[in-house]
Amino acid sequence: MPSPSPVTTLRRRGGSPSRDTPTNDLTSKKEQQPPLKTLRTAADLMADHPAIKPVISASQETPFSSSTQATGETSGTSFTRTTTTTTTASSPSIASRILHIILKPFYFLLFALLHLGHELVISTRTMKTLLQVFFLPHLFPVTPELVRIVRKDLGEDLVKKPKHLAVITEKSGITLTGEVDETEEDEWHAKVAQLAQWSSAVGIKTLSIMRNAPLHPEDLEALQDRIDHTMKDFYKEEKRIPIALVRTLRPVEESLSLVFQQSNGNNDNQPTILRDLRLHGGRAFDLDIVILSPEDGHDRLAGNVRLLGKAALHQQVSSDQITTKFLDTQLSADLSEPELLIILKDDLDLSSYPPWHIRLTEIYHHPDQAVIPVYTMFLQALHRYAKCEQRFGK
Amino acid sequence: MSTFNRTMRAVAIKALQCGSIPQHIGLIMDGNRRYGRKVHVGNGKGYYLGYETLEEILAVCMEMGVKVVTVYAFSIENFKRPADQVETLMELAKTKLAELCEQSELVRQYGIGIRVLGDTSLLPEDVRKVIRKAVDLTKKNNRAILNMCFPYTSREELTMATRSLVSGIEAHDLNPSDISTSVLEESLYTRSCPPMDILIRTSGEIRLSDFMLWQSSRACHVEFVDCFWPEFTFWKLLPILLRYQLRATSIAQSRREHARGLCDDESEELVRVDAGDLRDR
Repeated sequence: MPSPSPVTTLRRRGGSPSRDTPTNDLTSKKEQQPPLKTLRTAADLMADHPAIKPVISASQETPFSSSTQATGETSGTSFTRTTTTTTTASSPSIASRILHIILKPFYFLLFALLHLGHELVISTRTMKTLLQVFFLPHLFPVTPELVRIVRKDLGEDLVKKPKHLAVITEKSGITLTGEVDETEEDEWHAKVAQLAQWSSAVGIKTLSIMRNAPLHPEDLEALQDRIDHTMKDFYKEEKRIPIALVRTLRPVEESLSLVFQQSNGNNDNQPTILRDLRLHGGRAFDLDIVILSPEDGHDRLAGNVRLLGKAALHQQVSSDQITTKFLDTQLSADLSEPELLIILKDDLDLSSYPPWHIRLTEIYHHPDQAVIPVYTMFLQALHRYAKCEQRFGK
Repeated sequence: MSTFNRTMRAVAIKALQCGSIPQHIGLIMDGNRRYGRKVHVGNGKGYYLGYETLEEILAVCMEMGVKVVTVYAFSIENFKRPADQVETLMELAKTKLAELCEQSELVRQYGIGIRVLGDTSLLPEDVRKVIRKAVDLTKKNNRAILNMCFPYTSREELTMATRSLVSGIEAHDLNPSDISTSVLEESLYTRSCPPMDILIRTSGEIRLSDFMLWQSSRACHVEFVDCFWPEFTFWKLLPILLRYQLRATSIAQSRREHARGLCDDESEELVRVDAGDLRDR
């Protein structure tokens, strides 16, 4: 069993490949050279790109080398950091330095008091929300006769309704390390089924749901069954039961062919029909449910660059062709831009929701997640959206 | 600003420094015109007041030890506004940039390097000249950075990054397999800046409006503030910073987890490389 080649050990050690120095790869095998060398040239390429003002050298003279570690420090370590910054920034006299040391406990006390005060403000607000929730006029629609209530709550008085609603869910049963918690996963499925019921009652066309780990293909089937079942239950007093279809995003590779189809002079109506056909094999549906995971965010954009690069090598696209419009056609082929995004998490965190798509999305987040029912948030978000005015830069 | 107010601010900053301080703050300075109309001074004066607020907030950030402040000064979409308003903004940018780089005490004291992010080719030549000069004069300042997004949209940024990487592949400088999420991140305008910790939008709008989409959609504390930008003060920033400090550990943890995820992917690739090596032999 031969030991790993020097290049592989080197790459394993240095996290980002672009930081590998060219001197190291001289010693390595010849076949291994191109990626390392070219990565360095890529950085150079970036540096002298005309659109990038000013030319930034990647050297360590900038003060940000340890930035990521610094943010998460406990108060103990940042204590030392603050003293160093003050000494370098304004070089104070000895007297002021002594004063600073004397005042330090006072600052700590004030720091604690500030946070305490802030906590009090938050608690008061939570209590207020709790009271409001207690006296809420509306019921929570779980039983079939409540379809009408949802319609009344959401339907008629809304001036504007989103076509595409995005929801970021707190967590599913699968952690990042891959452990599965059955009950939590089941709860997540129930939540999605409920959101599907409400969304179809409002008349939303697309519902995209972000979760913290990719959905297993087998679970997708189970989720589809569950949604079919709950929809039947929810709408059993109606003549027609809306059909909801669950899917995940297609591999990014398939998006390019669509752009070519469009550029080959198809008329305007055809792409949408083609899109529906492609997505669901021609089945008619009322609600399109897309389950997203963090891989569909930043990584998908990078995957798209890789795809375009491969296509460029085969002379299918050239770099001049890549415009914002081109990328938009390609990226929104599988997922449209959501008009409203509801975050069902304690903190307002976008959790790698596809960055390209949230340009003009209204982001709704209620700070008191623990005490407020999801249905209330759903209502408030839609009402907030109905009120908003978009100026599109004007 | 009164001396009392200034002292209180300094004390509060010292207290805040006992916790973690964000490295990179993004600001969407929205609501200048509406504020101008609200206090009946007109649009142009609204912009001017907005600039004064920016100076104040920048001073606060620097005093706290924030490394990078990124502000949304002008969107590519803003060219759609009436010509006289665009003209006012260009004039304001020209005079203020010149002022910042030549005689600003703030820039000198904290060693702020000014950078202009965006597609500057869309700007008139005289503005570009001022930008080049401002960037050039403050090039050596490396203790802090002020990123002016002018004229910027995040989609343009992502398109630019994609295009330059693809042209690199076309020129055979790059392999498609070299492209990873971190490589794409390194080709954005904000490369060499620490990841964004806080993004603040004023004026009560709850959209990102094409600002820092990539940077803000992972491990970033986003806040929508319900006041116009010229009304924004340190005292409105304070609760945001307190909330950030409560979250800072979890943000750092999610970043670490993500970085570890990237490393795992790479080591998987390496296993494959090793297997290839074995076959060759």
